[in-house]
Order: sequence, then C-alpha cells, then structure tokens
Amino acid sequence: MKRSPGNPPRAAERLLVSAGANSEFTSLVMGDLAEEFEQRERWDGAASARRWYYHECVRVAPYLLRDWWRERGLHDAPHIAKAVVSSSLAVYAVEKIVARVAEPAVIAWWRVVGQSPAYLGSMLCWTMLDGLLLGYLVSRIGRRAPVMSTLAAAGCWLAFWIGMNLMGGWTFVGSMGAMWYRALNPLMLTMGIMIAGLWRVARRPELSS
Amino acid sequence: MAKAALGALELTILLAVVRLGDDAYGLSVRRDVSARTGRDYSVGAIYTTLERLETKGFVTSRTTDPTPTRGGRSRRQFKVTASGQRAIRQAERVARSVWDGVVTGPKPEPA
Repeated sequence: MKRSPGNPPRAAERLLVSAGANSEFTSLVMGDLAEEFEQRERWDGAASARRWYYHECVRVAPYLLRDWWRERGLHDAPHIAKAVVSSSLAVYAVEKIVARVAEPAVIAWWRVVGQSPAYLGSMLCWTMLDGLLLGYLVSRIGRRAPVMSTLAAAGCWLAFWIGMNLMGGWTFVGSMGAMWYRALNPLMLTMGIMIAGLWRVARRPELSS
Repeated sequence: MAKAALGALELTILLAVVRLGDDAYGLSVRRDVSARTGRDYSVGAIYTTLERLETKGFVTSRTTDPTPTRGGRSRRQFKVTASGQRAIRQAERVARSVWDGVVTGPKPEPA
C-alpha cells in the first residue's frame, strides 16, 4: 500500500476510522497517533514507526469500539444484524450450489483417500473460503459499521458452531470425527471472516484521510 | 461533583495536567504519565480517563486549531478546575493519613 512520508499507514488509519464512531474521540486519538508517528519516523525510521503504529492501533481498538457503541451502537444494530443475516444467507446459497456441482468429484476423491488428513485439510480450506466470502460480503453490506459487522459475523458464527458441536447436533462435523478437525473448523471460518472483512475495510478509498 | 472519588490513574493524570500547565493534551499527558509510572498507557486509556475527569468537573478542555503534524486534526488542551485542585489536595491528605506511621526502609533480616 502506497504511503506518503510522514503520514501513518493509510490502511491502519482506515481501520481506526471504521472502528470508531468517527466522533471527536476518534479524531483526537488519531491526531495523537499521527503526531507521535511523525516523531518516531524521524527518530527511529519508517519501518519501526509503522510497526509502532500498528501495535498502537490494536491497543486503541477496544476504546474506539466502545466509543462507537456509546455514540451509534443501538442506531447501527439493526443495520449490522441485517448485514450478518443477508451475507450468511448468500454464502449458504453459494455453498449449496457449489456443493451440488462439486459433489460427484468430492465423493470420488473421498472413496480414494478416505478420511485422511489431506481430505480433512481440503475441507478446512473450503471452510476458510466460506469465511473469506462471508467476511467480504458482511463488511460490504454493513458498510455503515464495517468493523463491527465483521466482528459480529465472526462472533455469531463462532458461537453457533461451538454451540452445535457441544449439543452434538452438527451431524456433518460429527461424522468427520477427528477432534482437531472439529476444533479447527470454526477457527478457520472465523479467521476467514476477519481477514476478508478487515482487508476490505483497509482498502476502502472513501475513508482516506 | 467535588466529592467524586479519584481512581489511581485519574489522580496520576490529573497531576500530569497540573504539571504540564498550558501544554496538557493527550500525547503530552501520556508521555508524562508513562515516564513517571514506567507503564506504557494506550492513548485510548488516557483520553477515556480525561473524559471521565471532565465529566466529574475536575478538568476543562478547549480545542485548538488543526495542525499539519496531526494530519490536519485539532488538539484538545486540558486545564485543572478549582474542583480538581480540591480533589488533589483531598487525595494528598488521604495518602498522608494512610502512610502515617509506616516506616519504609531495608527489608528486615529473618530471625
């Protein structure tokens, strides 16, 4: 990502703007970080200053999310719920169509390799792709609060998956048996959602400061 | 308002605002607090506490003109109010009373 000297990384700034309520609090925090970044870039070099900036973004994110919740939380909640539900339905539909098309090939492969680590690994990659698509869609549909929409989607799906496994009602995963597979599957989905959702936020040109 | 209790970080930040005078804003307060306590506080923690102090009436703030070094954003400068000064004196009295009679020194040798 291109960056002018003296300016903090744009992708990180976009994430900060999207995480907060874009209120005075966000502006003050970003102003302080920009001022210190400029000094650190002079003293310690650009790479070190960038590393420091990303580290500070992670530390300040909970405060910005709290600011968002106080300023706009209830106002944006229906919008976020709509984004999570509609993106989940869209991914479910895509998943069903692709599964129907690819089913003969998957079954043929399964007959050859059985429940080998390679097969389970490919299923995990499939889950990751679902997560990436879901993350991209939820951050796009929930563009009014893209970071919170992404976090909400990741949290809802993680809770759903863990809950279904605990209740033993998830027959698809249940038939796969292996404990590591059961544990990794929701993690892959959540990681996919977070990566794609935050990647899209970091690339939004309309948030350039 | 003046009787609202001061937490440890609130008191530390309030004292930093007094020390820094006209130069008390988020970044300078954070540096002062970090240098004196040895803890690296997040900028979010500093502003959240400053906002709480303002709600309690211990500090007031004013927004300055935007500066290029802050990416065209303003600073918010803080100043301690009379109520804040009273709260500091009260905290000092409480601290003296709590420490009264306590002798600190080298750790005694075990018998």
